[in-house]
Amino acid sequence: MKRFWITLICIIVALSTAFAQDAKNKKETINFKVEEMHCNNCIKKIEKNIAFEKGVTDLKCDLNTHTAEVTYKTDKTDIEKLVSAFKKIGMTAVPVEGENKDSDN
Amino acid sequence: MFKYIYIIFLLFIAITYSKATNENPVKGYVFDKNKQPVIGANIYWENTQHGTTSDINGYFEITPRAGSHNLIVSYIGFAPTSVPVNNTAEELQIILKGEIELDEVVVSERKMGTIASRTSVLQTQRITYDELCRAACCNLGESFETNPSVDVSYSDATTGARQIKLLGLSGTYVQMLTENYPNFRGAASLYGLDYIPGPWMESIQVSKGTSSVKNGYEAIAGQINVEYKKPMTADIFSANVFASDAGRYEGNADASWHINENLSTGLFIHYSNDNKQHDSNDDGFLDMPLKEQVNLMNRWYHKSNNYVAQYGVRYLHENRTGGQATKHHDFIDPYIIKLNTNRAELFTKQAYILDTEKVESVALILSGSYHEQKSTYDRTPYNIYQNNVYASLLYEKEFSPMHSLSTGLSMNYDGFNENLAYSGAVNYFNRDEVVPGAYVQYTFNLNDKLILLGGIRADYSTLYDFFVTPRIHIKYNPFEWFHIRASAGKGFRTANILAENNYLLSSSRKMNIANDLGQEEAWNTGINLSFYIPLFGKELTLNGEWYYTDFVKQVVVDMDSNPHAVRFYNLDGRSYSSSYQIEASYPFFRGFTLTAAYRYTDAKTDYKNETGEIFRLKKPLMNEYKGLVTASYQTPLKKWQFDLTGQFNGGGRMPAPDKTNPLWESTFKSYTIVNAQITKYFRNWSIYVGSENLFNFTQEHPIIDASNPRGDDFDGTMVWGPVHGRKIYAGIRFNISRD
Repeated sequence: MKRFWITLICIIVALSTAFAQDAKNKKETINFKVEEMHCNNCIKKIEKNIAFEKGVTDLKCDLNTHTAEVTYKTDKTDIEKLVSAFKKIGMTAVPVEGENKDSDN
Repeated sequence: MFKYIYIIFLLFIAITYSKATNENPVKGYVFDKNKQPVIGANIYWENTQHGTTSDINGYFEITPRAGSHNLIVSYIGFAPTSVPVNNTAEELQIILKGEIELDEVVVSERKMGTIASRTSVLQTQRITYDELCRAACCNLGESFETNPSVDVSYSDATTGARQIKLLGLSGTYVQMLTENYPNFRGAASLYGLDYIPGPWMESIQVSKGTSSVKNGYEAIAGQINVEYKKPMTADIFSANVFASDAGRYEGNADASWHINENLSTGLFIHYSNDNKQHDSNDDGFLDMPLKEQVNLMNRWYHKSNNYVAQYGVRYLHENRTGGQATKHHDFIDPYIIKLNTNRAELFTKQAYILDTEKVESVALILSGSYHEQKSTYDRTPYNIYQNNVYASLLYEKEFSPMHSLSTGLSMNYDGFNENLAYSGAVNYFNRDEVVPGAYVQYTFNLNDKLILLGGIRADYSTLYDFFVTPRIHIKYNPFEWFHIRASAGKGFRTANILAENNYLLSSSRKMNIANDLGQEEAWNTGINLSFYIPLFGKELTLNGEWYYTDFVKQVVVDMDSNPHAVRFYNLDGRSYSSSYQIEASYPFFRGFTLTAAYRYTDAKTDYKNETGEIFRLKKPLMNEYKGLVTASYQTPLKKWQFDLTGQFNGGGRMPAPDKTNPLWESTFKSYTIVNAQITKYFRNWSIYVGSENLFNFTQEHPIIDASNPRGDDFDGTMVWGPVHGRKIYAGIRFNISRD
């Protein structure tokens, strides 16, 4: 039993350090209004595709507000590229003004 | 038996404005009566192959098709109902109704793989494909590693036969269903868990306690139903390859075609091979048998207006070789166990909707199987040939949201041909049993707050005469966060001694079978409390339950009164099992969920020795308690997934060893098994590596007197723990999705 908990803690610690490494580059977070985001299948489609776009480091989809919050590395991609990535899967992503948060963490 | 029938209400009806070619999708929600979303309902345009499924919020959208103005909404291929769509701009709100909604309504940040149904009156857990992907899941037998309710353990150390345990009772008391009709009965019960490849399954439903009378009288401890992937909704193509360091190679592929607007088909292929000899404890015996399996299935789905027809055919071939490891040792005349199995299955389901408004339907289910197992347990040949035919005709009607009725006729035929060459003579155990029966089931539903389900069936067995099976279920949810369920009912079963216990031939124990074995009969009662508590913005799920099974008549498998024999006789006295379980689940942070469960089982039987003395003992080889902790983490982008499961198995009692020369302990100690898996997802494929039994725990001497397999003390059935140690595996999944 003890070994199970030790394993679990080790994995959590390893994960948190692994993901802390990501935070070196400058990142930005943008909110997109995606009208086509109506269902969980649509979210799955976004997750299956946008998550694999270069530079994307986080993605949160909100079904109620039809928005996708994308965090990306500024040296790898930009808003235009992200918008065209949405277009590729048949979705129109409109950046929501004023809600962009810069984060350098 | 089959999924329930639904009425459709269209709340928003077209007003004006209709465009001939409107490219805006039709949007809508599918709800149950409680306004809870219905997940996974099929929605498609009538007379087209253009369809979708509702998501976790019950939401769907579908682009309009020229020439079709009717949407068909159905669930798991049954009860299609038509909704006219005149104005695509309106959001549809479709309310599905059924006698018992088996659809899950859990809305969570991250879809957990095991969903406890909130609306079902029966206590039901649904294990989804996502959950199956959390572990190696080569087949059905390995699908319960992350499930606290179902235990799977090896019956003996030589044949690889596996048994499910539910509520402290062996798997023969659990009714196995595939696509909601009974399957893997009798001859297939020992190895049936290996007969369903993991990647073929869409989901598994586990319900505990007495179940609906629709599927027959057999479920005593519970019911396990496997749904295969459906050709209507399955991926165009998916494939999986798997290899483990234990020398198992496996390949699976399935594909689906939509041939025309009404017809679709799915093809499933499986091949696996365990060809590496292992003898890590050096007792001369293989830790696991060598196996080779070919498994093929083809299914068809046809629909037209109110009529749905399904057909399926399946073939399975398996070879198993267990016994002494000839590769690592020089045996002049090795002790070998060989099993050669062929199985063919056919099924069809026909459903006709008489009245969509009133949810009135008739359905016919027909299935047949042929199973042969030719085996030699060293020098003891044992062969079994079983034919099974099952037919069921059902009629269902919902008179009002409050009252609904289901009634039907059924017939089951089992023909067994068995021969066992034993102590110099060939013994034949041939028998036929035909059981026609009828049932009626009534559901009373008071605004979904109080649901009462009462059923009764009467059957006539050509072996055991008439018998009556009553069952009742109640569900009451006074608050959103608190649900209570209770059930009571009877179950009956015909014991198939050799078919279900032939693995016991891998011991020197003499088989001693009484002549007058009766039908088994038991009462099962249960109570279950579920709490859904909001806590720090997330939901804590708590579940507590107690199930009690009391046998009126039982065929006792007695390995205690004589350490050199196994005796089968009618119960004289009491036999019961009491099972308590608590379970808690909480999503601690984004992507991370922890589930913990603990179960205590008290199962005792009265055994009668050869001189007629009765002594009450705990069920042997059963863990007194079991704890399970399973943690799962998915990274924010869902590219990585980490799963860790710990099973904490309590100790228990061994069958009584020989008093003058005890060759094994009278009890076994507790042990822990840890499994872990890492999955990396890509756009169309994923790769996983994992380990079963990470800390390499094994039972030290699983085979008694292994050096002398033809002696009087040899016994391969005293197995309580894993025989094979740590296993490392890796696999790749690939799919082409339909949209």
